[in-house]
Amino acid sequence: MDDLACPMCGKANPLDAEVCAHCQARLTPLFAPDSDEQRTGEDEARLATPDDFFPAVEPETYPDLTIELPAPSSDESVLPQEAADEAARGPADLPQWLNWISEASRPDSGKPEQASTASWLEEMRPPYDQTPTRPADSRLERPEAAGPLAGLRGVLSARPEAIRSRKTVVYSDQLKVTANQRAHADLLKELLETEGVPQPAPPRKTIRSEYFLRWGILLVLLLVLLWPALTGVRRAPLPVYQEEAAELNRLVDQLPEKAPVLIGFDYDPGLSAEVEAAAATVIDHLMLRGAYLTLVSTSPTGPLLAERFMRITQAGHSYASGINYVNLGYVPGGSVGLLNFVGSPQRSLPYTLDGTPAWETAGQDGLPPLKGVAAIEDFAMILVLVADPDTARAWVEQLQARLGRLQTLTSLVMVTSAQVEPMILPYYYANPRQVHGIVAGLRGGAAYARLTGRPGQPGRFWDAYGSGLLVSALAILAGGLVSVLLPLIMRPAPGEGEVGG
Amino acid sequence: MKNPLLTAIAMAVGIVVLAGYFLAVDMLLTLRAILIEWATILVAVALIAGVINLFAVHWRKVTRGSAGGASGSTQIYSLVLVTGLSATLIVGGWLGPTHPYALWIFNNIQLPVETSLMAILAVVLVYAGARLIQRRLNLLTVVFLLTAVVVLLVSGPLFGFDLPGLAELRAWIGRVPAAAGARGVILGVALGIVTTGLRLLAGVDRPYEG
Repeated sequence: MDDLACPMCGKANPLDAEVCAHCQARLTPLFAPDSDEQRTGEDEARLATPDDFFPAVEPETYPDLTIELPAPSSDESVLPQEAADEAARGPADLPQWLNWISEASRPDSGKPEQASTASWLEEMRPPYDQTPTRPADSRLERPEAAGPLAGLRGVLSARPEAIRSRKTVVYSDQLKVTANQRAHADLLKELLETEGVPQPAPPRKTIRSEYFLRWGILLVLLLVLLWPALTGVRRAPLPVYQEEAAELNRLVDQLPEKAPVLIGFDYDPGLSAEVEAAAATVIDHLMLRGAYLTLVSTSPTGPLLAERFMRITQAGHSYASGINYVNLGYVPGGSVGLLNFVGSPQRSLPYTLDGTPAWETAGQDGLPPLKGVAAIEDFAMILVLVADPDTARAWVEQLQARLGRLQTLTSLVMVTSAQVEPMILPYYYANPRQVHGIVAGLRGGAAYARLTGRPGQPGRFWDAYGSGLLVSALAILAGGLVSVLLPLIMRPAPGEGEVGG
Repeated sequence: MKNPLLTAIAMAVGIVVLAGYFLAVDMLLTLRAILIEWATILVAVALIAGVINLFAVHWRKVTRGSAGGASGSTQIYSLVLVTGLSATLIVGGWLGPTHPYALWIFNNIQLPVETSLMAILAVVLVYAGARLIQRRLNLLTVVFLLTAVVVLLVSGPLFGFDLPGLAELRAWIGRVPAAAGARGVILGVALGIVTTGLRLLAGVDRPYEG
């Protein structure tokens, strides 16, 4: 290298320049170098190595630290043996037990003893004549010789070689793997490649035992359900007594004549068969008592279900819309809408499903079922027909704020699907009761029908219902037993199939 | 906080409605009633918007066909939906929901379809119950099936084969394990509602910000 790079700006300068021609930074130290450190610019530019600071010393150039005794003179020859002993003992002021220090200070005492070691270990041992190098960090202990930090110790070197750009080491991008690793990698690659390839589906059996079981259950259920309807035979007695249904029956019996009753039709058409069969006897009982009915629903299909129920299921009572009952339609908003209706029913649903003003106001007479009704507490009873646990819970929760007061005499009763019964029973068993009576499923409806003595729909369905439940339970029981016993029977006997017994 | 105004409005509305349950102040009750009424109207409008969106999506499938990403069968289903929705809307809107034609559509189309689905579900459940042990045999499966069998047997008549203690066992199942589970569910739901309400009132949850 012919130029000297400036440690500050990095630009090239002549080798003998003291300051940078471009940035005026000093290129040589301010202090006078030692005589043995006089270096030329060429030496300065050379890359420093640890050997520059700690040059290797040839074994034959070790300083001879042995004490050379002067030749015995004539006047000193009286004690030649003492001087020799003193030289062998070392300095006279050291005690005997520190003699090892002087032994260790001898140049030849530093050599380790030649021990009997293994040949492979002997080959790994560095040669004794190689002088160990000191760590590179010791360079920091030398004073800085160039740059603005010149003269300071313990700083990073600002010499040109410290900032010289070096050629980037190029590493090979070829992965060195063993043959075993290559085999595993190939296997993994093959697995991943075949994973995305669609495999042909195994051929399905055209006739499987599952089809027979499925169709068998369907046919048996159909036969059992249709048999009571086709033959007209009724053998099963109605259930005797249910406390919740009896309580509802008592409440209906206590209603005054022409009492306003609010009925919520909150079930889906899919569950209408069960809920309507259970509710038929209760609403039949209400109609016999001459109650005025007000119908609402928080389900979009509820108003049509209510209309259908009044026109078809209860057709025998000749209840007329607008005279004996009023259908207020759909309450949108779920729980919020229900809360709005409970808080102000007149503002929430002012018209009937036909568009007729329903409520009694200052300027008009209301429809007969809503005469004298201004708030939710004015209804004598609130009956909810429900098939969903969440909907049932929403009715209970939103009504409790108004019906939970001590002076309120309105009772909340429910006709539910059988699946809702466990969720509603806690409200019935609560103290005070939050639901005052329950008819759950067709069984509850049949129990209610037995109490009123009017079998109605529950009586017609009771045999088919019971037969279907019995066959379903037996099918499940038989399927479970076959699933448990068949593997035990088909299991090979111990020893069977073993070669050589 | 993306929009502090929205959060402030939501928190204020929630606090007013909640306070209306505890404080019998006329102004507060009136304000609460108005807010709840607005919410009800909004839900009703959302229902109408949902119906319009449903109609638009299927109308697009019918008119664009395969270009709109619909296969042949999907196009037919969409056509049935658009036709049924239009017919019901015209009959119910023009003649009224209690007109015999509107009730005929409901009684002879919607009701049988949904009831048939429930009937199929009953058959499928019986079949699944019969094969359940074959698929998974463990203690809980056995307990589940035995409970189902007992409840099924006692929910209907036994035609003179009443077994002693079976009715009492069914009553015990309904009043103790089933009611205990239901109470647990109700309590859990109540705690969840309280937590969610408090988070909304505190502005921690802000679903209205999208």
